[in-house]
Amino acid sequence: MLPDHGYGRGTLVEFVSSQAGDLSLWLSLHLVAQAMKQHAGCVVLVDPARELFAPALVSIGIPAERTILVHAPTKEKNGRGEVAWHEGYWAINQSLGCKGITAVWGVVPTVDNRWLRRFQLSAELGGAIGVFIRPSTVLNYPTWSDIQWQVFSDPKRDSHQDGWRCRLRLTRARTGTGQELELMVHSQNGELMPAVLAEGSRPALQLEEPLVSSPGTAAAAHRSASKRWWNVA
Amino acid sequence: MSGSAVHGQHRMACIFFPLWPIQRLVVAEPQLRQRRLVLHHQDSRRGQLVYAASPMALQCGISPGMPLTEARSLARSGRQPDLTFRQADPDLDHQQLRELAVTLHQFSPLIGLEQTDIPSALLLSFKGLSRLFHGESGWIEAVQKWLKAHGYHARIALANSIGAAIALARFSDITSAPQFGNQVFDSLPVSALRIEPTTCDTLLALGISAIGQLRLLPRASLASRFGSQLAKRLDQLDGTAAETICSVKPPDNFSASMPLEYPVTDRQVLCELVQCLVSRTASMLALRGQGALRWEIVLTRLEAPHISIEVCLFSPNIEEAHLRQLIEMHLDQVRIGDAEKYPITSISVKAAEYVRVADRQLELFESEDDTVESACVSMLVNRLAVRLGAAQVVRPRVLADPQPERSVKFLPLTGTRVPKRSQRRTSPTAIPRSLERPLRLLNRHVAIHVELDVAEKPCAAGISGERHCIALAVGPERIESGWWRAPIVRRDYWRVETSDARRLWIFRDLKSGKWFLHGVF
Repeated sequence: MLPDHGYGRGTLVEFVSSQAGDLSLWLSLHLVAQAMKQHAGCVVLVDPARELFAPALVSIGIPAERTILVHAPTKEKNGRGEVAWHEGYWAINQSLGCKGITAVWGVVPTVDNRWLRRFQLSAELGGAIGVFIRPSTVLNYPTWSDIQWQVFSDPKRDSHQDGWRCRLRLTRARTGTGQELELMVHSQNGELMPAVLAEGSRPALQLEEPLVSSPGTAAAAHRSASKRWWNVA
Repeated sequence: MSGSAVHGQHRMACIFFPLWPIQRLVVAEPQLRQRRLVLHHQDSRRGQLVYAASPMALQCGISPGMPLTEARSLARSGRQPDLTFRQADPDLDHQQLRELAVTLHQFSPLIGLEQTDIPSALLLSFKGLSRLFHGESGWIEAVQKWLKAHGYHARIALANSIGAAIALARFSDITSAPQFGNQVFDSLPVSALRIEPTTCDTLLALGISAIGQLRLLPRASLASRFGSQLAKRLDQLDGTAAETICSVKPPDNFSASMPLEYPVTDRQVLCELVQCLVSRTASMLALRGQGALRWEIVLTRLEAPHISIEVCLFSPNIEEAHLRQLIEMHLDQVRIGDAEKYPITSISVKAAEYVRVADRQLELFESEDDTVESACVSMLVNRLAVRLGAAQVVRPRVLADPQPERSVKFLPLTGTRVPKRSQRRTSPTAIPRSLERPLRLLNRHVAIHVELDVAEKPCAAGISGERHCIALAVGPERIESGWWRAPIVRRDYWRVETSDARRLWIFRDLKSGKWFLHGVF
């Protein structure tokens, strides 16, 4: 499904969120945590709204001692403090171009396309992986990101399943778009796994065909796909 | 500068720099190392004379005290065409030796210059240092290594007194005199006693060339025959007479200021001047092996309040070009106002926070690439802090506090010292399991309306005027603050999933009974 069967260094990945609490935040930061497991550098989290909760970051595998948290200054406008988003974009751009930074995470709500182009050039230069959360309004516009996922909340639940489910649609990638994937976050250990429905029901997960090109059993393909999924090459 | 009398009860060291004026110049300008260098100075009676010459120039027939015209004629005659002539600067030589003494405080707490008109040796106390450097040889090796790395050539000697240490360093190849017995000094020339040249000539005329011969003479008659200085120097050599080290103390603060004769209105000129002062202060710090973490720059304006700028750094290891870039970024952000109306009349720069810059050793399995990468990260943090403010670039620290708002502390990454390893230990914090805590914690609780089912579990929530059915609710998790903290916090938290799959963290305040939205997963 993904080019090179994973996320290469210098890649920009967008998670398009449909609504607050749809797990796009969790998925994006989980990707950052996986990147940190494979590379020794620091991570820059650009959080202009100052809402990232550090204990939760640590719990999903982002160590505090390797985290650089960047808050954007607020400017007074009409008696209210407004976040200076452009400062956050500048911080993202600077961080992406820095060697020694493994991943850069940020919320990028509305941004000029030139900024995204700058992000792409900086990421190619520095080698960091850029992970952004974007609103669903950006789907109608072109993007310079290499991979774009649209995250849907999946309200369907099975009584025996202990976790939170979500559905992702690949809306931008070199290898083709439109493919979908259903994932579940296990509530006990926080592991991300392909969603499996109860016996007899139609499997919602369609991993084998898009991800595996070589012949093999469906189960093996299923396992390998789940391992490769967050692999940062 | 303060004096410390030394009676010879403990070991003293002397570091002698042969041809110090030449060495000082060669260290400053390494390209002169392979040149035949001649320093000259103005003599009131004889005109321009050769002051000092490099070993290669000495081999060519140049000697100190030679008229400069004679030395130049040697060069012009074609026999020595590549002689390089420079004006001597004894004041600068003295100042540089003092600065070197300040730097060498890392090897001894008590250090000073030898008491002559033109000093070229440093005197150090070795008291209590033996264990630190694994003996005298270890100390000498460490000092030699440091001096060699910085381009200096020195002879070092340890002895029971200052006079003995100077004599050995200047006139002997022995680096460490024995603790007992003065026989080692008997073979040294009488000039090793630091006596007047006239006294030395008299002794030589009498056939007394070595200290051992001098010792054979009755001590009581020495003062009457050769003056009191000779007997005193002999006593100082033996350690029976006190001698003082005028210790050089490092400066208490590192700052530089520049009153401007003509007020500055141009930002570019201002930037250059600030950079010049910062470089000067940084070099003072570097001499002591220190590096600044926080710079304070004050621009005084005419008939207007002064402007204060603070430049905070992530680490003291910083290149000058990068520091310049940071200062320019800061000055770009400063509103100087009407520069023509309120011109800047003086600039002062101070290193408000500084730490020791260790020569960092590569760690196990660490490559040079890692060092380059960490330097890049340092520069990135500096840039971010300068542009966004030091308080905006932070590292989170998780605290062992159950109240979510108080469970995180943000530590600025720049302008602060790295805590010592012993201070880094913190109380163990219980890291929550994944999905137990939301990744996004709202800065302010949002009041919501919650409906409960028969089991007293939330079944619907009204958020921003919209009703959401709750499909799953996990909880309650009771969180209470300590009784000693006011106001007391008592909350029941629920992790809920709405029917349209929003994962929220809500709580009921047990004091008021009201419900609030606190986080989003």
